Amino acid sequence: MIEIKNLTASVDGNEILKGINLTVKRGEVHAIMGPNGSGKSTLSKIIAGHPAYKVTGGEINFEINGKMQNLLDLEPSERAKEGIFLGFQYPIEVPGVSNFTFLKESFNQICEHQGLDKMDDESFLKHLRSKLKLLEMNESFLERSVNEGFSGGEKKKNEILQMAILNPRLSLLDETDSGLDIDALKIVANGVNALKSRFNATILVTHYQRLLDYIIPDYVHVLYKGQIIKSGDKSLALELEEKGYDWLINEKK
Amino acid sequence: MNIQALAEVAEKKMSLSTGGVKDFRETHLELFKKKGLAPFDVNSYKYTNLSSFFEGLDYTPYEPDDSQIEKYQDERFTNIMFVDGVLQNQKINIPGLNLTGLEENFPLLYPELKETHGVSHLHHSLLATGIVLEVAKNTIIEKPIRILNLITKSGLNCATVFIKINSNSKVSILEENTDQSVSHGLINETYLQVEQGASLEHVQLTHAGATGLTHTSTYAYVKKDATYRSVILNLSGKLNRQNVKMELLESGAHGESYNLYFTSGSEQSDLNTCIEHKAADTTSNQIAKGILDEDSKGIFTGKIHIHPHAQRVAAAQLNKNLLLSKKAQVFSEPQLEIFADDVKCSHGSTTGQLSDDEVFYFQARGIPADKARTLLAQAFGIEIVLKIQNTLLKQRAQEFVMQALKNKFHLGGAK
Ligand SMILES: Nc1ncnc2c1ncn2[C@@H]1O[C@H](COP(=O)(O)OP(=O)(O)O)[C@@H](O)[C@H]1O
Ligand SMILES: [Mg+2]
Repeated sequence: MIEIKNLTASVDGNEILKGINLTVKRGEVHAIMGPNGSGKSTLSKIIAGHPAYKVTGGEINFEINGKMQNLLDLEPSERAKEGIFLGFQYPIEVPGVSNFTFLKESFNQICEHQGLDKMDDESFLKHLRSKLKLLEMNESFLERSVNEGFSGGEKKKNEILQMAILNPRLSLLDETDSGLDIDALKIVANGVNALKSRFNATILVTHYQRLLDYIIPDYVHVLYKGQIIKSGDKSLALELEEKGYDWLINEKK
Repeated sequence: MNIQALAEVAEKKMSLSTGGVKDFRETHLELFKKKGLAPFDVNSYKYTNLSSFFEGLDYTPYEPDDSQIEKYQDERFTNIMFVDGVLQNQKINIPGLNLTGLEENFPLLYPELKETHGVSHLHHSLLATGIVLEVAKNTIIEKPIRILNLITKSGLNCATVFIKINSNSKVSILEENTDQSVSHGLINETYLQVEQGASLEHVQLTHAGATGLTHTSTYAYVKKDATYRSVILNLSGKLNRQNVKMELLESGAHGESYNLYFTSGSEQSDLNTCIEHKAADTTSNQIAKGILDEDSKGIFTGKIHIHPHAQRVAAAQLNKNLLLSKKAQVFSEPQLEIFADDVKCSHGSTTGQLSDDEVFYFQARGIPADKARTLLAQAFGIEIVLKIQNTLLKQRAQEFVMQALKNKFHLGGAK
């Protein structure tokens, strides 16, 4: 579904990604782990198309209408319409735009792209209600401004709510587990699991193994200083939990 | 030269008045000829040189054109219309609401007319028609009143409005200034008296064409336990200059000042407010927000004056600007003059741009960048519109604000 080859990227002239190779197929769950500052968020934002990051080499291909196409040619909003979803590590607050308006705008953009009719407010609200329930969120969230005054956990839940509404093919969840207490973590993990199918794929970015107890990955990759230094199955995450990153970093040296 | 042309317009219209009004106008015409547009207080016109704005004005004499005024009616409101400075309807039929002409009340009212800046003399020399609106006590007027100043021809006009809200009454009033894209100067003065326990919501909406100059002066006197809410929306026009002087005269008086200005091209919006806390236990709240594009200029000067003995006053002021272009300029000047010691007074001012991160958040949800910027600009400005409490007024304001956001700004891409 997505193929990243030799990707190098920089921000403000500093090279941050130094040759990333990663292939994710439909139905798979990949976890990307690694210490702070290794480039995990950078990689996620580049896939979603953030303008601050410059791709200096390599390629990213994404399956669109059954064909692999150059993702880097697409505007960020087009990438989202083609089914790429980035759950932000730090979702921003948007005072003055209600969650309802935001979700509806977003949903309708995607409907339009897929040649579907836009939903009226009432049917959209019905659709929303089932997803709110999945994440155990109160309907009053809809009237509040996007993320404004939300707790860390509420912000992360809101990201997963957006994901549930948009039904993406590739979800990149950047540290969705941070700031969540154990109950919220379970709810979020349940949500993500419920949305999983053999047609879509998930990339979980995390630096704790905790989330991986609830969302079981098929592959685990360790990103360090802009490179994937080790890949394995879920046992790699457990090993990391036990021995820490230093073990791998030292081994690499 | 410039002054002479302006004076001639006033002279030509002199025949519209008789008696006391005429004497008054002539006196001020002489003063205007002598002093011109020079501000009384240079600081208050630091960023707006009126003479240069009034320079290229087209003073061609005109006949009012009332052929199209029907489409300017809005049935949601009780409409009072001035077309090119001429009052169209002399009567309204609402219980508790009394509309009379300025001339018949002149002997009583003329001492109220203020001379606070260079434009005062010009206004007074032009003063031909005006209205006096009075709401009887203990009356709630449900349907908002809309006073429309429509300009259809080039020239110089003024409107003068006296409003008195008697005790424990409540009303919402919209003053709307617009034109049919002609070069003109509109100079308005509005005097408001809000008596004990009364509540007045006053919205001033200006959406003029590219060559329209609008200069308004509002004087509000707020008595015991009364509330005055001023909402000024400057959506377009070559120059919009608004002076607001709000006097909180007795304890419990509460004043609100909410302003929104949109400028693009070479437009200039200049808001000058002064909130006078003249008594103890008075409160005020002020938020001014601007969205500025291209080479335009936005000026906000907000004076809060807390007089000696005005203890336990609470006053808050906030000015926020959103720049859509690197060339747009903002001048923000809070002026706090506090002469009492037991007061709570806060102020703040910020100027910023839409951030890439904000726009990206929308893009990452499938919303294209231009749409994202529109939504973000809307979100920024709508706060002011939502301060309007009357639903119908809020609706009309919202329609115009949304329209202006869509048509006025280059939200399609960075510049
Ligand atoms: N917008 C930016 N400007 C400058 N440096 C950045 C920016 N974004 C990330 N970086 C730098 O890139 C490196 C990787 O950051 P990031 O991708 O956030 O790491 P991670 O998500 O793995 O913690 C860090 O050294 C960080 O300081
Ligand atoms: Mg990160």
